[in-house]
Order: sequence, then structure tokens, then C-alpha cells
Amino acid sequence: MSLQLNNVSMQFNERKILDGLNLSVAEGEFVVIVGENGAGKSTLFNLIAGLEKPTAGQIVRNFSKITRVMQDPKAGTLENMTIKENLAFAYKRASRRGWLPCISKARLSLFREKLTLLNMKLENRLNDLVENLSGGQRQALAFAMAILVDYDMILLDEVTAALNPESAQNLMELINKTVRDNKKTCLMITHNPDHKKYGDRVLTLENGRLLSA
Amino acid sequence: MAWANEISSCIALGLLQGILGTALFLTLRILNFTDLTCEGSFVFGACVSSMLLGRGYGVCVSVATAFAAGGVAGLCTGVLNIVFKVKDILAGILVAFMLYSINLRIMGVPNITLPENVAIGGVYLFGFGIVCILGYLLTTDWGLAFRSVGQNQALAKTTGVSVKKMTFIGLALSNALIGLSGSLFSINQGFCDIGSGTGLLIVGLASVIIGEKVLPFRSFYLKILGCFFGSVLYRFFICLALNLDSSQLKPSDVNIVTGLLILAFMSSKITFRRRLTCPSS
Repeated sequence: MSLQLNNVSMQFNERKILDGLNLSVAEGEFVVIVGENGAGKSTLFNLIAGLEKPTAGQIVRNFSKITRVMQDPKAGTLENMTIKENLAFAYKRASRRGWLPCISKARLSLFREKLTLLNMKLENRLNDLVENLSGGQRQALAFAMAILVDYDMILLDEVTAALNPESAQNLMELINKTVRDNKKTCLMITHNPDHKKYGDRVLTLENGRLLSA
Repeated sequence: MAWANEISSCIALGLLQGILGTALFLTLRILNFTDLTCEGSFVFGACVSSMLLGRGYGVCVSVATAFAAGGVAGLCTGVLNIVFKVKDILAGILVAFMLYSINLRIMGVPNITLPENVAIGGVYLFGFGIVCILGYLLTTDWGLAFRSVGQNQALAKTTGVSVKKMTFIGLALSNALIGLSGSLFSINQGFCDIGSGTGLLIVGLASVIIGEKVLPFRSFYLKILGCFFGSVLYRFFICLALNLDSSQLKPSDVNIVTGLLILAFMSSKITFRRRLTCPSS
């Protein structure tokens, strides 16, 4: 198993968000999680990412590198920086940031290669500020930033929520292809019923527990 | 001849206060931290270096100590903000407020005259060094992480950047530069006054805003150069306004002239930024 949650509970003040939750995710599996607003989906992702600790239970992570794409395209990018600077920023994720220039020829060619995968012609706009991009382009860039360096698991937190249906569909196709081709483990939260089809399993978070949909 | 003296004085003062502008650019624009410590740390730097010069220490030692003293003041603001969770504006005001008493303790009297013949010609070279070093630092991997803190703290955190550490470094570096500016300013003027920091935030802000309007480029070298250029230009405008016989302005009108100048530049459309940042495709 790539990830295992055993009887995990999470409580904020008096309110129990997660209550004895169990989840096992195999390597290379694509799991879709649905649930009402406030059901604790993002809290669950925070626990999996290690940003918060559960009040009870155990989380076993058999992977070392985790990456995440947030709901808001603005949250996943640095809008007053150029596309290449955003990618250079993501390139050094969780590693020591030295005193060498953030842009080099080798890095630029890697950035172009990753942006070409998005099929949005962003590879020709490396010097553009992110604030000049549309919501869909920004979210695609956020995804490119998340997958720029090697990762074992990707967490997608309502990544298409702020996008129009066409952009959302394009981004989902891109995510599905990238994750499947590279055999990466993926957990995705969504409110869009059309996107459930991308998962190997669909789980519903209800009353602090995960149920098979 | 009088005009030649005025011009050289404007350039000298402008370059000295350009260091202050650069420091404010770091906190206000890059770190997105409203740091109001500057009026305290400026005088702190001036007091420390003046006392050391008065006791016979060399210029380099005095200026370096003023640099370090300013950095300590910045760290205090950082401690209040990060450790004690005091809002950025209030943390700066509190430190500046407390520094007033410390400065008086250091000097003993409200103002002191400095020994004559203290040469600071090397300051221009130093200013050029600041532009190069800071301009380079901000384009490195470390610089990207530093800049990310001011733009998107949540993303910075999830990407492994220590927001607290970067804020401490930014505040210390910025206030160290302000202390240095205060030190050089007092040496240039030949005296140190407890009230010399009053209104300096606006002067620094004017330097940053004028610099951004006149040199609206993305390069950090040019942005920092813009702070110096803006500061010199600001000095020229003030000098021009106060020296024109037809303006009927008195030295006491400097605040209203400064305020109107900042407003004029802020509302002006003299910027090429949009054209420069438009998509190339």
C-alpha cells in the first residue's frame, strides 16, 4: 500500500471533523473523494500531506515525495512573477535553495518540455507575468509546477472548481493522462459528478468517515 | 555657483537616502511587510555611529556598527511580529517608539556635532555594490524563495520555504540598510539629531514610487537603481520647489510639497509597465 490511514480522527475544538476514518490507497491508484462542503475533505488532505497531525489514529506513508494542487488558481502560483520564475520556484521544492541564478539554459529547456505537455502554448510565453494568464492557464501552470520534479503521490483539491466547463475538461484530461502515463498515485477531491469517471474508486466522505460511493 | 552646490548636495543626499529607499523597497514591495521601524532604526544607526566617531573610532567601524545596530532593530520588529504575533504595522511603531528612548540614552543629549573632516567618498561605491549584490540575490533560487514570501505565503510554506526565517532576514537586512543610511546621513550633515528620523518613511516611499515610475522595468538591478534614482529626483524636486523665487514656498512647506509630489507620481500614467508585460504572442 502506498498510503494507509487507520482509525484517524480529527477534532477542532468540540467539533469532530474526521471520526475513525480508514483508507488504503495502492501504488498507482487514482482515488476520487466526494462530499458535502465542510465534510473534512481538505482537512483529510492536510493530514495526508503532513501539514496537520491527527488527534487520534495512525497514518502510514510508504512514499517520500508528495505534491498538491489547490482549488484556487491564484493559491498555486506567484502572480507577480513570470511563468519561468514560477517554474524555477517549484523546481527547488523542498530542497536547499542556493545562491545560483534561478534561470539557466538547462532549466529553461526542462520548463519548455513540461509546458508543452499542457498544450496551451505557454512554452512560448515564459517571460509573461502569471497575472496576465487566464484562470485555466494558471491552474494548468499550477499543475505543471506540482509535477515539475519527481513525486510519488499527487493530491488534487477541487482543481477545476474555479474553471469554466471547457477548461475544466481539458485540465482533467491532461491530469488523467499525466498521472496514468507515469503510474503515479493520485487522490482527487471534486464536486463535479462528471469527473468521478477518472477515478479507479470513488469514495464519499460523510460523518467523518469514507464510504464507497 | 550656488546652483552647482545645490545640485551636488541633492545628488549626495539623494544617494544616501536611496539606501533608505532600497531598504523600504525590500520590506514594502518584496516582503509585503509594512515596516514602520525605519524612523527609529535610521536615528539608531546615526546615534551609534556618531557616538563611535566621537570616541575616536574610524568611519568603517562606525558605519559597520550602525549597519549591525539597524539589523538588530529589524530583528526586534521580527520578534514582535513572529513570536508575539503583533501586527506588522504596530510591531514597527512599537520598536521605533522604544528606540527613541534608547537613542537618547546613547547620545545623552538630543543632538551632537560630529568631528570634522570625516570622508565618506566611498559611499557611492558602496551604493553601487548594494545595487549589484541585492539585484543578484533577488534573482537566485534563494531570492525567488524570499520574493515568494511576500506574494503567496501559503504556497511558500507548502514548497518548503521558511516564511519566518525569510521575514527575519528581510527585516534585519532592510533595517540594517536603514541604519547604514542614517549613519552616512549624519556624517554627511556633520551632526546627529534625535528628531532626524521624522518623516523619513515618506521620503523613502517617495524614492520607491518615483523610481518605479521613472524606471518601470522588471529587472531587479534596475528596480533597485530606481530607488536611488527616485531619491535623487525627489531631492531635486524639493530643492527646485523651495528655491524658485516664484513659488513663494518656505522650508516649512516641505511636507506639503513632498505629499503632493508623491500623489502626482502615484496618479501619473507615466509607466511603460503594461507595454513591457504584454504577452509576446
